[in-house]
Amino acid sequence: MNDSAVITKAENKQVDDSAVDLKDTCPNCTHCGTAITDGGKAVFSNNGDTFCCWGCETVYKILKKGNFPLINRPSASLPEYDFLDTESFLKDYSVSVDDNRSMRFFIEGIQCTACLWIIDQIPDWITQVENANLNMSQNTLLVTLKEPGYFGKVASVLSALGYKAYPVKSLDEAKHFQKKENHQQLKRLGVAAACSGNIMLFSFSIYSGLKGQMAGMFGYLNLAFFLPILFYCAQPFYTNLWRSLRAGRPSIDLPIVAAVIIGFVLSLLNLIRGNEDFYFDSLSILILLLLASRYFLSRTQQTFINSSYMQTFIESQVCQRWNSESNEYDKIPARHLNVDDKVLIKEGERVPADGIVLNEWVNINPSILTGESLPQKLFKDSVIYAGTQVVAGYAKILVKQTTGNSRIGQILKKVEEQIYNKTPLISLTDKAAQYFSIFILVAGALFFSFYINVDLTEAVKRTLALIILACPCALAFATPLTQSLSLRKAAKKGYLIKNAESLEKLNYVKNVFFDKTGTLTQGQFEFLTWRAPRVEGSGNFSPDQEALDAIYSIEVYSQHPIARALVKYLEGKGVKKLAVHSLTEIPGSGISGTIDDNNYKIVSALPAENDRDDSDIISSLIYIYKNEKLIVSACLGDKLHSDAKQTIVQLDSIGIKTHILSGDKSIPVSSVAKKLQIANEQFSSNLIPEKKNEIINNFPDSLMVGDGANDSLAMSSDNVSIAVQGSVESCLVAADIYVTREGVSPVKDLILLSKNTFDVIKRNLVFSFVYNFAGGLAALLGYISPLTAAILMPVSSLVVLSSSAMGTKFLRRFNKINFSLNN
Amino acid sequence: MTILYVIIPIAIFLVSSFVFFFLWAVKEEQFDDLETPAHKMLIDDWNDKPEKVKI
Repeated sequence: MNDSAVITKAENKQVDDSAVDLKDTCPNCTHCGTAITDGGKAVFSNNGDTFCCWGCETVYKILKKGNFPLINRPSASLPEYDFLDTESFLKDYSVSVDDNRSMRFFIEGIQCTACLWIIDQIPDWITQVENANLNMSQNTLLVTLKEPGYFGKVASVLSALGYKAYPVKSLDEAKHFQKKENHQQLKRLGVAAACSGNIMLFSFSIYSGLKGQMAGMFGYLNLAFFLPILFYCAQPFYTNLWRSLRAGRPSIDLPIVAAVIIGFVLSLLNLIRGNEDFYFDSLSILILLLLASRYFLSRTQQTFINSSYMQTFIESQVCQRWNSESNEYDKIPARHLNVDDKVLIKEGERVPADGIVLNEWVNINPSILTGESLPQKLFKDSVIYAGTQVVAGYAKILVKQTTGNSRIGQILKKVEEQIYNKTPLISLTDKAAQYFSIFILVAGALFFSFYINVDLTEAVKRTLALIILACPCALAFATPLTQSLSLRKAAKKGYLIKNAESLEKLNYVKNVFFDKTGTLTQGQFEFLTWRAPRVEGSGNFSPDQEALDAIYSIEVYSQHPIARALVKYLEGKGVKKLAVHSLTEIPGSGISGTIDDNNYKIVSALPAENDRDDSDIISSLIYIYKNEKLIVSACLGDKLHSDAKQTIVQLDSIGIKTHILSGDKSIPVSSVAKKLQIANEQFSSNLIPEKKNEIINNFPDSLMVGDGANDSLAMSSDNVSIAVQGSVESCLVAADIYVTREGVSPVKDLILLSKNTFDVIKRNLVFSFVYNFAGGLAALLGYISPLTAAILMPVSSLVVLSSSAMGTKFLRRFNKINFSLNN
Repeated sequence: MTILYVIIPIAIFLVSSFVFFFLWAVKEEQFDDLETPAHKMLIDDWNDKPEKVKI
């Protein structure tokens, strides 16, 4: 019996080794064959297979086993998704058509065709599901149910498949607007393309030297095709200009509209006078390119993680309230709770309101509110806060503050206010456009007043040529194009950036503030390592199988979260359960029991101030005694992300300072800081959410990286912010960027991407200014004929366009090489 | 040169039919999701067109 256990252990070890080997050599997905370049997202199964995503893993399992007992899984209906089916939630988030009801979810973790396939199977598994439509470009899933069906069940199945589903608000009037707006833009683009293509064709004959009546006919044809562009396609520029003028800030639309209107009037006059100097073709191409680049930018910016689509769900959560009339618990949404209600919260659920504990004890995880890594034990009469999670036991509480007025409720309210009042960034291109348009108008006016004495018609003609030629193409469409290429690139890697403004803000970042729990660390309490009794630095010590079995058999009876973490680790090691007798709980979180006449005592304790392990952050120790003799101790804690150290070194090498802001106690924070070599004045602990916000506001050009509700206030400030994978909803709403990849290395990637993008934009600006300045000067001197102007404008556009397209590609590679040299 | 009197109406006809079909396609929401259909065609047993749901 003992032998077989040893063999299993050996096999396990082998599998572990091979998995590590595979990871190092960048393996291919066992199912779809895609090379796995992104180690953080890879899935390693028990028998050595690797997959690129959960979808592939699941599909592979189905194909292998034939029958997949998904629906019978215990997790097929999780209580945390109960709120999806409450009436008040359905009212806001679902739409009812005939007998069907639909709801839209934002899905985290969609990667490839296998994901699409597996989600398409959902209607076969859950009979009430009529339809499950996945939109991969927006990562949304539209689920339609036959009544009576439960969205909670669908969300639970999705979570069993390894995806995380966030419901998004149904497209009511305001949201429908965005879709309409997209269609409107696309229609304008199509019409502009059709008309400008034909105008180019008709203009060709005039460039070839056609004169006289025929030329006039083509002129009028040009005019006919230009009218829809002028009155329909170019409309957004007029409204934007009007808006920016009213705000007192001339934008890039000013020179564009000036060029279009003046060019049109000039061409019309020439046409009537029987002259062949038309600008219809140049203008229509200009508008087409502008519309196209703006459309692409706006499409890449539309993610569903937006404050208008997502809400914090703590108020919608279902909780159990004691009904004194019927003497049982009623299920009601948390927002209907009143002061002095009694509520029951089971293990795994979140506390819905601030209150007082009524039962003997409960273990809670306060990390969402305080960032504290260690589970807390609360006793009778102590205060319990909304948002914290019950991890062991259960809680009966007396509500003292309703959900909306609770500590977390107030933080969320402030977050909303701050998001609403965010000061917009005046972007680089807007600033450049302001100076540029003023400069051109002044130069034009000066020239006109000077030349009017020489020749009136020539003065009008040359001034107008200047304004048309000087219209800064690079500013107008190369910038949005570069930005949208970068946003797209980021989205492909799983970084969802809400808007181009955030991308620009990243470029100016000088200080990065990290939250600790869940951001720099993995946020889970787990087993780290064994430690030999009384021998310091004993390396890879491990207790024998007998001791492992004994520890497991005793700890399995303990309710303590630290014991649970140890049990979870041991279960993966193939231990067996032995018979235990005279089991006793030792007051002060310990347990003892007797197995085969040997008495075991297991006691947990906090580590000493100076007790740190090089490898990880120990926040708790468990001592195991056999017959009163210490045989081994176990270290438990929160693991650092494997890429944390490297990321901070790399950020340092590009001159960005790293700080830690944590609500946790000073010991774990300082040990993390020491491990990451962060200087003493650059980390602070025991911070309340308001304090975090205050600190970050003292540093202009800062970046906040976090995951918990306690970070969301700091994230909603004027500074740019990143929510890491696994963040709570309030963070997704508050943050400018959401990362769906594990770890913190995306922070560095994003900053580099932003820097690259702005290098390209600046290069385009310089080129465009030089080009326009030379062109404008030539126009004033009278060297530019309509034909040359018509050729010069698209040429300059082509140059900046290819510069943006190539720039985002090559600069990236260059930086990669730079980095490998630095390290 | 009289050929122009045939070619130009043809050009106008072509452009207006392009615009007409393009606007129709936009209205049919064919450009709303450019990614999923590309993946869907890779799935062998994809035979039924999913019903359009208005939301």
